[in-house]
Amino acid sequence: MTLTKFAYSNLLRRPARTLLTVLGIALAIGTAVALLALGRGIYDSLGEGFTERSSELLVTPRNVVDITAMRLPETLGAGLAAIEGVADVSSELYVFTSTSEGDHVAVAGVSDSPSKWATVPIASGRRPDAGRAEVLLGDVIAQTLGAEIGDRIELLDEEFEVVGITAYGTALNRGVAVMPLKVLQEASLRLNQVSTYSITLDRGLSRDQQRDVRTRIEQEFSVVVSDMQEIADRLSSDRNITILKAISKAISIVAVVMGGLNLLATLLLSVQERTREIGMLCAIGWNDRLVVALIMIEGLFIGVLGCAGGVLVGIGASSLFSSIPAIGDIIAFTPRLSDLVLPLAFAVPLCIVGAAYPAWRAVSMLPAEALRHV
Amino acid sequence: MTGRQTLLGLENISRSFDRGRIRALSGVNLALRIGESVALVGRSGSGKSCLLNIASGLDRPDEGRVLWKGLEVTGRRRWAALRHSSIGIVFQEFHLLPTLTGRQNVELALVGQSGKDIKGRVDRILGQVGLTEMADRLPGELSGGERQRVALARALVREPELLFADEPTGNLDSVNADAVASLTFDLHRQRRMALVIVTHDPSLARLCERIVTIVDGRVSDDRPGGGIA
Repeated sequence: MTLTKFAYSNLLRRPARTLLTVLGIALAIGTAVALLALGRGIYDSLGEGFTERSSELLVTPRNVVDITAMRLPETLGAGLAAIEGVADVSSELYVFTSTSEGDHVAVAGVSDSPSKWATVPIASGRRPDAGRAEVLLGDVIAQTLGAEIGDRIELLDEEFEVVGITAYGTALNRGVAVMPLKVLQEASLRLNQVSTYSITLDRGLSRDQQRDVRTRIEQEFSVVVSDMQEIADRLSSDRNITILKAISKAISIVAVVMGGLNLLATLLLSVQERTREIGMLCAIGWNDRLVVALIMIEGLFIGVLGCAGGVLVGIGASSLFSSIPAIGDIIAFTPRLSDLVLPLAFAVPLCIVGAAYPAWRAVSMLPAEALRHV
Repeated sequence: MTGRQTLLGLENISRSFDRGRIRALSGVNLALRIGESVALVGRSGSGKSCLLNIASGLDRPDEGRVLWKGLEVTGRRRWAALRHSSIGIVFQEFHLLPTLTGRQNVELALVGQSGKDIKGRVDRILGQVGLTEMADRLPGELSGGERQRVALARALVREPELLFADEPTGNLDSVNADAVASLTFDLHRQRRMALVIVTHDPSLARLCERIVTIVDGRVSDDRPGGGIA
């Protein structure tokens, strides 16, 4: 009989309670993992969405993080194209609006540049004609609006004909309606304005040369030039997203603490029930170190099983959420190794404390008192 | 007998409970020699079990000291080490774990102990108490006498120099009580192990070399029994 085997047999004495405790910890860790994956999923969705739709670099106004509030003059495009090292310039305007049924729609106006339209994948239908009230819909927003090719939908108090469905892969872009820039400028009363410029640099530029071009544009036009990851970083510092991430982190911590308290309660109850047994172990020659080790190993068994189960629950829950259209169509929801770090960093010390306190209680009593315990 | 060295000494031991309202022991002095057998007798509540608890380090005296081979024993760690190496204890209520077999209950006393012959030691002691055939049964499948023999094997598997037995036959019928008593004294003699038995049973007490009577927490009589060293 080894200490580990004895600890294991003790847990099997109350299998239902052991299982429920493991499940409690697993659910706590799983909830934390899923919530953190959600927070990061929002950030990732932004990054992936921009990478899918834009070129190498994005030009945006300084000190603005809300993409619909970004305003740049349309005349800036010519200035950007004149910079040495810039191969192609295109522009986009972003507007949030709602349909007459109250559905919110993000609309992107795309400049009449062949290279820009080449980045718009079309699953079915065709590209909107320049100057006509036509729109392409992402498959998710098309489903939300219940619109098909040939239907007419109302956006910005105007009627648009749906001429195609885009084939974007990211959750962000699948919810966007796309139309020609001029059409959106007129419909949104933002004539001669764009939100961002996309820039492609000459091929063959070294990293230093690329940096020089970016610096020159920023100095000459008082704008910010970012790659797609940088722009995602900027947008994710938006207050709403920051609050959402903070909430998911806070709930994760609460969930993990609840899991730790669950373990503490179970082990305390177990130690209290086994007070006479612990007295007996002392009587047959066990020292305090051995008794503490026994209870710690029991806690460790439960904690490790709970954490491992929690990781599986987290991954399972994330997969489940991703498969629910109402969630998965909006947010990329794949847990990564980094999402496990915070829950496990909290859970492991909590499990140790949860086991150590009952162990300390067990050995703080005189063996004779323990043997008398009813 | 007079030439034997003192194994355990109790000097002026006092112990009270309930904030001093119940005085269990008052100034008890007792010496136990190596290999000696002593019966502690007295009425219920006279302080016999309390004295055994203090003599085995399971409880602390309010006053007085306990000496092992002439050296005072203090502190949980020292007492645990002593119980680990030199003291075995058997209780009236067996205190066996119901989910472990007889063998596993005995093995519990050796948990944390290194050494290759652990299985051999367990087999030997189970053979000595006559439980080889029933070693793999759970306590619930054993009779009271067999359970007490498992508890005895658990107490003796470390080959202690001193065995404390707190009413070891108190929960047994007369046939099983005689068998357990006989076994206990056989092992005491074979191993030259000191034995302290708390008992109400005069016939069991008479098997010891000394009979110490406790009345109201004091030693009222200390006389030779019928046992032979």
